[in-house]
Amino acid sequence: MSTAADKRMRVSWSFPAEVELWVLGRMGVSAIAAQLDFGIDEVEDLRLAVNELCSTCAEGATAESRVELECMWDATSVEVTCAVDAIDGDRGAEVGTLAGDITETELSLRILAALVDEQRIDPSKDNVRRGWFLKEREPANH
Amino acid sequence: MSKLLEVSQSTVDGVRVVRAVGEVDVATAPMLHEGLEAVVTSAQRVVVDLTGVTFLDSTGLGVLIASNRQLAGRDGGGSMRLVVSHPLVLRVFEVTGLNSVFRICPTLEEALAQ
Repeated sequence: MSTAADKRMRVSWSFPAEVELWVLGRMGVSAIAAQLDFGIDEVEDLRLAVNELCSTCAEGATAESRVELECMWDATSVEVTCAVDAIDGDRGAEVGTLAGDITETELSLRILAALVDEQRIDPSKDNVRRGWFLKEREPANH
Repeated sequence: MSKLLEVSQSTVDGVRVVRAVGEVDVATAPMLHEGLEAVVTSAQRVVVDLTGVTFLDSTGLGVLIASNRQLAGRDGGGSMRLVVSHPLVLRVFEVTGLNSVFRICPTLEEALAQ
């Protein structure tokens, strides 16, 4: 992949918010990270982070929902933005408690926070929920 | 894409073993749930062998938490052990603090011996 250090690249995917298709996003982003010479652990982190980002954004997704996933990168970092439309806000709020006071969403956010350098999940607005994260390459791999 | 995960059950030395191979995500977690459900309602000791699992997300964790809770809540209290060797899968347990909730062993032999 011919990515000059100062060149910022962008790829986007758009697909129905069907859980069987989320693998496409994580495969795509991890493939990009691997081409950038991210370490194996970092690629694995990104793979899981994309999954948890999509998972959180798609809470309350309906049959009409679509996932817009965008990956931007340069030689030292990868940014991923996810937006899911046609969200049913009421459904998104109905997340059960798994153990003690931990919900599946909290688990997802905890995993995401541990894997990336910066992350943000915006409250849904106009039935669209957006999320974003940034992962910088470890200095040893620069 | 359901072939991303295969779940099988067996009995080893009187212990019910549920073995998962592949990726456990929101699409495949129901298969793990199905494989565990029958076991946690009937067996006292359960080992979930995840050594063949290369990806585990929060949905998969949710299935394991629910099954563990169901097993522990039975009369007499059952026990569940996990066998995990893949670094990413181990990391998921660590960052969520669930490595202190589950009994995690590096090999099936160790899980069966406990």
